[in-house]
Amino acid sequence: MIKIILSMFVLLASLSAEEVNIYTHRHYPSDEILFEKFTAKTGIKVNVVQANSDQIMKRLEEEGKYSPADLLLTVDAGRLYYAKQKGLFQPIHSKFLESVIPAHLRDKEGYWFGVTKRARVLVYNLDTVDPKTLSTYEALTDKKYRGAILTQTSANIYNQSLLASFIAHKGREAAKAWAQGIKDNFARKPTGSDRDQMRALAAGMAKVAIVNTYYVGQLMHSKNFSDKAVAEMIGIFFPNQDENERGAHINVSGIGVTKYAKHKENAIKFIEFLCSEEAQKVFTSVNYEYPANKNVAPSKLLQTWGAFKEDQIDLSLLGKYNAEAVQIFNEVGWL
Amino acid sequence: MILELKQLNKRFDKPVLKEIDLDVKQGEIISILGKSGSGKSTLLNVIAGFEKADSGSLQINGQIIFDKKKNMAPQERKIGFVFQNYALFPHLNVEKNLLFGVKERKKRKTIVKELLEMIELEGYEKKYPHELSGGEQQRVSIARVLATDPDILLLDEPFSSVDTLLKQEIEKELLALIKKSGKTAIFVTHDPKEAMAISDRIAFLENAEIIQYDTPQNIYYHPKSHSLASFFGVANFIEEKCYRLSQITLHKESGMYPVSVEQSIFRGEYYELYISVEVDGKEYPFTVFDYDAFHKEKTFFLSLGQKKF
Amino acid sequence: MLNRWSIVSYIITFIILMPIILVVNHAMGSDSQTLIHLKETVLTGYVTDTLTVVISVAVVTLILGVGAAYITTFYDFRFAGFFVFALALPFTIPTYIMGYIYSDIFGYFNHFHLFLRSLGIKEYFNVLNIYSVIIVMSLALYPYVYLIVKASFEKSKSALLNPALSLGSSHKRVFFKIILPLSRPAIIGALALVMMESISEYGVTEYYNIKTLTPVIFNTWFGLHDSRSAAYLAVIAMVMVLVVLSIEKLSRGKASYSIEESSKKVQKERLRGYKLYLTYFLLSLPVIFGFIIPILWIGVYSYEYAAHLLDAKFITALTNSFVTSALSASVIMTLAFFIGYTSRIFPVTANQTLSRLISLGFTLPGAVIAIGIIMYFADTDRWLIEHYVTTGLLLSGSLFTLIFGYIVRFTAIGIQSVDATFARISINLNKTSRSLGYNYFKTMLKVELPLMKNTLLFGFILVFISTIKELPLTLVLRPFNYETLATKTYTLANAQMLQETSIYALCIVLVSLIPLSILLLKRLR
Repeated sequence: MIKIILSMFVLLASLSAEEVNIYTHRHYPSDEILFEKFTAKTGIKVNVVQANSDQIMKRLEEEGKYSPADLLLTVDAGRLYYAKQKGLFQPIHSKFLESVIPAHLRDKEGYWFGVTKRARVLVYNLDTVDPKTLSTYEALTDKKYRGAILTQTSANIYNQSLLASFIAHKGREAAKAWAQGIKDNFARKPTGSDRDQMRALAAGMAKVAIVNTYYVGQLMHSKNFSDKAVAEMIGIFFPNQDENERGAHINVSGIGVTKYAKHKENAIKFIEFLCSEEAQKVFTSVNYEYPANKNVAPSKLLQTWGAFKEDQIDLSLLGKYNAEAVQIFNEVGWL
Repeated sequence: MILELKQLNKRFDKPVLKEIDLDVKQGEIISILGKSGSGKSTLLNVIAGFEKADSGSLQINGQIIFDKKKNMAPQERKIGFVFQNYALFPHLNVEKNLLFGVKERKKRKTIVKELLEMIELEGYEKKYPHELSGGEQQRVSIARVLATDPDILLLDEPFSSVDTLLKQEIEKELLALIKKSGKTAIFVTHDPKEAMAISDRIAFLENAEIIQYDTPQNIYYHPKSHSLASFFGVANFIEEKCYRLSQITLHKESGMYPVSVEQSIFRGEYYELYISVEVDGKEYPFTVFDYDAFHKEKTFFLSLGQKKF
Repeated sequence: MLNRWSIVSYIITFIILMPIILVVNHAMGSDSQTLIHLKETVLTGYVTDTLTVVISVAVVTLILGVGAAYITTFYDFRFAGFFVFALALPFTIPTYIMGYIYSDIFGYFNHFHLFLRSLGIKEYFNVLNIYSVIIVMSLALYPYVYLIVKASFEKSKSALLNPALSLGSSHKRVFFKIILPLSRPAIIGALALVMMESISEYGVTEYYNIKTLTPVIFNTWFGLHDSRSAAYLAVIAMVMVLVVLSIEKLSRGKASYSIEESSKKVQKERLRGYKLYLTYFLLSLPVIFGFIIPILWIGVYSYEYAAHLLDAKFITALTNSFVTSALSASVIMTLAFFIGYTSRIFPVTANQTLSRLISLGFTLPGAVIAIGIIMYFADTDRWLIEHYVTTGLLLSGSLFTLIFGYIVRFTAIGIQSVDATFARISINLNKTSRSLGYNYFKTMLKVELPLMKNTLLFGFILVFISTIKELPLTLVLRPFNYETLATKTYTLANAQMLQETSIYALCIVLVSLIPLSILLLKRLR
């Protein structure tokens, strides 16, 4: 009996030679479209397990050198950094990738590559806020915003990375002061998703919310009438744009070849495909993310928000300071 | 000897069976009598094989079923066990309950009718246990055991959940049933009247030990301990010898011993007298019943061992 | 007591407990720095919130569940049959879906507030708070209590008939003096399930940002990257539940809860007048808020937004859900029955403790168990490879791992439903069968199995529905390209496409409804 089962597994494993196995955190419709396109184009079958990053990374780590996964696709640079630290990736070289993905959006040694960009920006209530009065993330700690700021909890990885970028730029103390200042200005105890922050904002509960750009896009294109209404009542603002400022905080979703990939060639092909013009256009138009490929323009919708200066910080630092950021959140009570 | 227990010991936190010796003859009906906590149910469970004794041995028909080396499983012991609440299988009808332990195909066809006839419940094949009265359930549960033709029947407090009014009736029926079957039976009971009514012999168990194992008459008239004596009703003692009410007569003028009445209580049919008897210069407290009218006087004479039944 | 039954039972328990043991072992080397940090900053608040949520949910589900079971068992009124059925329905709606729905309805820019504004009311009501979490969890979880306790009431109803017990006593007196005490194992068992699930619940607590121990475990593990301290906190949660279970077991003591079954019809008291209307009102509340409103929401959105999602992928997800859940539920009920039977025939402390321990899987957050399981199978696979049995990962990432995960997590439900009924079947039936010539195994098949048939079906359905709804374990343990209804729902919900999730949520409800209807028609009427 056991032998039969064993041989079945061996059989299954040997059935499809041309394939690539992906562990992914991303749960967006754009990705499903791209997996299909890749298979159509190359004949390589894409096998996917989609689960929460931290847990799927643990699975990859535990499976070790026998893991079937060839690729790890995840969101947040901090996690990519962490995966590299844990030895889950191997470095790869690709002339194409190195030429189209800007240096600050990929690992210097080729362990991982950013595939899409998203900015964590300010959105404001069009009725009550004049965008001219907005300037920087730091300005939000001002007393005039008491009871006027909305954002997610500190469990949110994008908030963690935003604070990590503060630590990287300005040191722990300044970062803590900022977190404390934002916390003191909360309109309410953080709850819900980025979308929920914008809904509350549109409802007039606060003046400004800190959210990721693609959620704004999703709201604008929602089939739900009330979400569309929400999108019409809010404006988007890229902070820290002045000449002496560092630019709006950006984050990536990125991908790397696993250390023990069995289909390394296919894996590299897949990454190149994701960064190709064709795929990048899908990301930006279906999921409202900014392309990581510098030769591809953002979708029309994203263009209407205007070009912006982005924080060019080494994204690995977001990972390096992640735990410290969580500690600061705990200390100031931004929970 | 159909059943023989030698030196059985069993303890949980404290000893519950101490050096138990017991033998039962073929066709005999005996009772294990004791108050609750005396160890009588454990003894029954040990015989049936539901509990394992710590030491000693157990034989049925000369075959060892338990000793140091051997512990036969209950299903192999050929012992029929009838539980207090009859333990009829609620999901099976009477017929299926009766056939539960019957494995021979040939026997299965005929036996139900025979059994139902014996317990006088013809036509009850398809009824379910909850449709039967307590007495009917009990008869079915005994018939179910008899169906497997066991060597010995064990009955755990079979009358304890029976209505007091019906008790004597059911006792009689059950006894007739067992006699008819010719089986050896061991009853466990806490009721001395019941034990006397049904048993050839009674084993009195107290504090994990068998105090006395004898015929009902001997246990009644010659009990080996005070507690056993008083368990069976009013017992009076002179120098460790027990005298039952029936062995005592009162006289107005002549008799063996002079007595003085300390208290008398009118019980309707009779008077209950608390007296003290003087024997060889020592006083003994007695309780007696008196049906006559001379109770108003304060002194009497008393004779022992006069009345016999 | 060492005998074949107990040994097999120990081995099964050990295998199931292994992932949990790994988590505990992992906790041993926890970093005191992290724990001090947590203690100084957030831990007190988290523990307070945990206790508030767990105790409140326990109390509310107790009142809702026992109250509903009592009324529908002992009183007669028009539409009683409908309520028996309807009161169980909220069980089919996953807790996190219920959470999303209410936040959608009462969200700042949604239906409820738009309605208020149309009335000229400018006030805003924040629903994303701890009270809503308690209400949502109670609505989603009270059916555990209702179903398990109702089944128990039905069994002891005949006590009302016993002349010795009910002579001159009112219904109420008999209920409080006899039926309620008799149903104690069932009530406590069901409450234990509710408490365990509310401790380990993650979806709603995360979304509503209520800090129970589960989010702090996640915070520590994935935020502070200190898995050992996270495991340590998970162990604390486990110990809390273990204490509750032990207290229950101790207070149950040696008391016997067996009662002779009877199927005699009981004269129910007929409700009239204001009592009748009050009953309708009270019974309607959990049905309306726990089922009707959510199902309307799901139904409308499915119709408006998601009908196009009914494609081949959908069918695959449906089949996957159905097959794995049915398979897991069968295995779990077999194991629970076996373990329950073993501790019944060998009622030594060791056996009874094991059946408590095995329930621990239900206390841990699904994701934490998942990681224990990943470690467990990775180790096993490495061992197999090193001993040349296999050449690659055999167990990790296979369907077997996923089903094993369900077993670790949901055996508690099986055990609780089986235990309560075992306590009600007189052990003398077992002894009788054995003295009539059958060994333990045959006795099990001939006596306990048929007597437990309904209970096993009942437990099967509870486990089946819980498995269909299960999410965190499924996500991380599943094989490549493996989608279930729950993972589909989650993927869409996580992409914040709440409307699109509705079709899958609807399907979860429908698939759960089928066995639930069978159960209720068969058992509770």
